[in-house]
Amino acid sequence: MLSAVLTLLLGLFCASGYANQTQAKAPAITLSDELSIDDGVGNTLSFDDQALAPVKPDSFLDKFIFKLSQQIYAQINPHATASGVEKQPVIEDNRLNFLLKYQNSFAPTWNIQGSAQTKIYWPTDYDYENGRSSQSIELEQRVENIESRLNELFISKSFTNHTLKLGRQTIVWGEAEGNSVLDNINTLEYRDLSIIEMEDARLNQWFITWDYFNEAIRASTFVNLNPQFNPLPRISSPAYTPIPFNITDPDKDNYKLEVGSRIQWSVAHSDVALMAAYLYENPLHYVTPTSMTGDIMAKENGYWLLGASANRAIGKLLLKLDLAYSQGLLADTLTVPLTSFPYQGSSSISKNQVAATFGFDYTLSNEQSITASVQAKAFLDRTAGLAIGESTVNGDVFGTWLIRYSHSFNNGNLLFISYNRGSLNADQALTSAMLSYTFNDHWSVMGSVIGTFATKDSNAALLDKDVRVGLTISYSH
Amino acid sequence: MLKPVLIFKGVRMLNILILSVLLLLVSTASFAVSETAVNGREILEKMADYQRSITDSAFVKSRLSSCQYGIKANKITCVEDPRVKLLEAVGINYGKGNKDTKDVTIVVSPAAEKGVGMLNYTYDEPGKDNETWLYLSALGKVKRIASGNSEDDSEPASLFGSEFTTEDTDTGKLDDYTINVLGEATEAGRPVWKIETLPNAERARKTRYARTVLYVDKERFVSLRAEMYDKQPKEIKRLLTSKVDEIKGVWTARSQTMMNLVTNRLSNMVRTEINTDVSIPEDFLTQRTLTDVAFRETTLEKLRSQLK
Repeated sequence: MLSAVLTLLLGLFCASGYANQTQAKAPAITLSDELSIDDGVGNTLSFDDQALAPVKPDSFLDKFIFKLSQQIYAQINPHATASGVEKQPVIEDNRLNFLLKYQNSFAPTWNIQGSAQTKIYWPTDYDYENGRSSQSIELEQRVENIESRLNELFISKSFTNHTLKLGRQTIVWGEAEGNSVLDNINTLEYRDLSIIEMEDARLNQWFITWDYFNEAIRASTFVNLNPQFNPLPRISSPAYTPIPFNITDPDKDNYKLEVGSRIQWSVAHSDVALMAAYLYENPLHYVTPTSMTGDIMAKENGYWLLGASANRAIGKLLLKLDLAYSQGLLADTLTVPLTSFPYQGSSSISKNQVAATFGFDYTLSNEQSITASVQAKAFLDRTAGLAIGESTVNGDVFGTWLIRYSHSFNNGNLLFISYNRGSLNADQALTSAMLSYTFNDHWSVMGSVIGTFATKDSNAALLDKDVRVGLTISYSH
Repeated sequence: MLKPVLIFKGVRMLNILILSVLLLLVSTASFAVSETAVNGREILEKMADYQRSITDSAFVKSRLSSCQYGIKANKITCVEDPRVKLLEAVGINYGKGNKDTKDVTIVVSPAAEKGVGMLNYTYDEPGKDNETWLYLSALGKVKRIASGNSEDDSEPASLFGSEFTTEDTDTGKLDDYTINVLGEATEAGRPVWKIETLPNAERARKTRYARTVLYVDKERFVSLRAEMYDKQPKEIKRLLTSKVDEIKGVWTARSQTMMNLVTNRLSNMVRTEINTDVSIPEDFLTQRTLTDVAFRETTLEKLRSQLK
């Protein structure tokens, strides 16, 4: 199976390499001194009078951007996972996605912007005729096999040194993209493992934000009056595990409030930030019953976060560091680890945690770059307060690593990306390769291969030895 | 989980945006010079001074097109639809001798890249790395870009994925070169000086070009053509200039086409609007402009009103 994944990954890489060779070995065109640039290439290449014409005022439609994408993904490897689940090749995703973005600075110092998406699930998509309202998130509506959601919608008003924003928006903290211990406000939600646009994978929240700017300092404060939590995996999705228990929703009558502040400044070749926040853990923790009766209960948990982040540019190298101290996090535990009961008692205990992410970006050339980071977390006094027989799920130190490599060709029209991540205790890993080609400003196509590996005790055990291939065709305007 | 890779699709492009504002704001100029005073060094020195003069307090709109090229009817032409980017750039000079630069560039189109902004602080001081920040909606944050400095050990950065690099648009640093006037010629129907620049040993370690030949318009002091050679020596790139206009007393190249003779690809940069002497608030050239759309658009509208 590993060889199959490697073969597919290698195939994509070779395809990109072939493109590079083809480009590099293009027969040289002799340019005599008599040659000149063609003025008539659609009036787009060389200078023409049209280029001097004043830019026409934006029309109403110019404030919109849309992208239409047809996506097909399939798990192609017949195998048994480490946990013993038999899998056969199957198409998992077959869906059409319409993404709409809007931005309008409708008056001086005012701006409104938003984004929304609609998906149409075709037959053979695992979510076809399979939607459940309990698995929806706020502002997501479904009618038959058409599902829509609002991602962002906020209005902003700027003053001399201040800006206020009100509405559904995104806040990202931390330097290590995709692997930061500080990126805890708008978490990514991988409910169905078929995200088309990364920015739409974030669970947007309703915020009031206040930003202050002066020459050297940028300060930002947010208030979230209604924190939302990631939903459970969708039924029949690759990450879904059938459980013979009812799972309770969080107590909606329990008033919750998130608030946080960050101050940033720049010094020579570095950006530095300090932050503090009161947040609710997302995703939720769950407490399983100790017998076949009862419900699995969602457990909300508020905690304090103190953090610091910094970067340092050294030539083509950018070092990145995120530090976090969290007070009152829940550490997952197993309360009945050695019984014959098939659903071991999952619980949790309040702990304080220290965490750090160290990473770097390195620009190999104009066409190639590499990004890597390691995230490590540790609960303080990990075993203190545990009941007899109770143990923490995670060891002394746990976390994730990430390595990403990209190579572009033909002025970026052809792009190869290898993305790899896994856990520090090696109980799960993902490796992927993606090759995309952009035909023009409207049309693009992307092929990808993704392999996932997990041990039987991993929370990703169901994805062990899966190999997925995907194709996405997009039109944007 | 399947698509974290897409986070960085924009970032990939950003690795080649570094210092691009230099290009957006660079133009060439004419000046009065006596025939007896003409020599290669003086010509290039004064050209650099005039280039800087037009980057100060400037608001420039540009169109950058890239494509595979071929020959048709004795014309160099695109053999595929060119990819086009529209850009708006604002910049000021500051610092000692007014030789440092702060610029911000915003992508106007294509739609997929609209709103991508780049803030760039360029330092004249040797050994002091330039600084660049990008705002990427996919990341939801401002990201500092490690690019190295064109004066240091890094490969010259490509501009917006085009065939132009920062090295092609670099000004000054003439002490790093031996400059020879090869003679006089005619280019695009105009009399020109052929000027050769040869990098010294230190510069040679940092440049792809072992030799460059410039064709400088004798009357307008605009480089109409440049040939870049590698160490073989083989011509690897050629720059052609067209549409030279006088803007506020400065002759300016409005259209430049860079041809990569190895890959047969070209990029054409057209400066559709060059506005100088624009009153630019310094707080516009900060990270706030990258993230605060209300602030950015309000300020840009004020700048545009100065152009009317």
